[in-house]
Amino acid sequence: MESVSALSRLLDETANRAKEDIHGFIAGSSELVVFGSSACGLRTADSDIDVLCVNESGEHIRNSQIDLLCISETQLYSQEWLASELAGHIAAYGVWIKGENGWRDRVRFDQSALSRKRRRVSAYAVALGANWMKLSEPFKWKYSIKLRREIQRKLLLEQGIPIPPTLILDEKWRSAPRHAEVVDFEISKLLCNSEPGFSSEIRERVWITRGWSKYLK
Amino acid sequence: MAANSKTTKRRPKGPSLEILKTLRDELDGIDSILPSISDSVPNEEDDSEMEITTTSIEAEEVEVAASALVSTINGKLGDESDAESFGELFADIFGDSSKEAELAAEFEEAIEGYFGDLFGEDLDRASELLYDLIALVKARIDKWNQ
Repeated sequence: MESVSALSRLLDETANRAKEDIHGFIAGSSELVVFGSSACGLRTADSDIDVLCVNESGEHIRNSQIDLLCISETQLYSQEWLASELAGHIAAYGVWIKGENGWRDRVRFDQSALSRKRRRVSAYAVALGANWMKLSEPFKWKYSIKLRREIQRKLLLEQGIPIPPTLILDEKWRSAPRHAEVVDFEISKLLCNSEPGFSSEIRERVWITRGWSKYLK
Repeated sequence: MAANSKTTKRRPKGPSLEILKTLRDELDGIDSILPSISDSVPNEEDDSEMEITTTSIEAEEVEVAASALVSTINGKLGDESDAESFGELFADIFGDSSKEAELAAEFEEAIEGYFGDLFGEDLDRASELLYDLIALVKARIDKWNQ
């Protein structure tokens, strides 16, 4: 994990560059939590900084440098939040740079996060099957990677394991052959009713990306 | 020469008619999978508001259809566009500060969502934005036909 002081500095530098009033959100929040790749010390040149702010603004600022999500104190202790995929991720991988992590131990996945993930994965499979021939090469690669990552996340949620940053998912995909076989099997199950040509092509693309040093965004 | 120039039709600024027509058809295709705005209008003879049937529609279907649109239009534009997203495509075609680019970027945000249900996508908003976008494209086609 990255240190609190390093992340505070990174957030401050990002806020100085932003056109939005990020310093205002920082000052007006009772909790600030950095999560995602920055919190794990896995930043790359393309990485943004993911920040959860606890305040009443309801804002969500998203650009290439920062993804700043504001939620209220009431939301923070709601069952909906505590059972969510994002709360699970932040509780496991977040670094608090301001305030107390009082809700961290209350996070419990329930069926809703898993159901949503299953619906999402199925929807991608159906939509990709219907549009595959229209998609250009960059999109075919993009969605092959996206589908694989979503299946990895679904497998983790099924085991009640918090979702790690995407770079950790990618690394596991590259370096763990047994895990890669399980993911491939899940894809083949998911696409068993699809056109055979589409199913085999997407599985092949997913497999090819194991050898890539860096994925498309 | 002077008489000829008076009768020559001026070509509207911006994208060609062919691109606009393809864009309209592709946008209509996405519109057909989104919940209709009219579905949420209350029936005057019935007190209960009609439910928008969203159970069979997932934002991912709309997202992939939007990517297919970008692929199709990029293919037609050739070197004129290498857009990687819906918002970028409209900025390439109509200009960064155009209303079309602004609506397309908002549409993208509406279907994107964030980490599952809690900060989920807003398909009703996406439907409204798409309606406005189609209207703008159709208005441009009408200019060509005048």
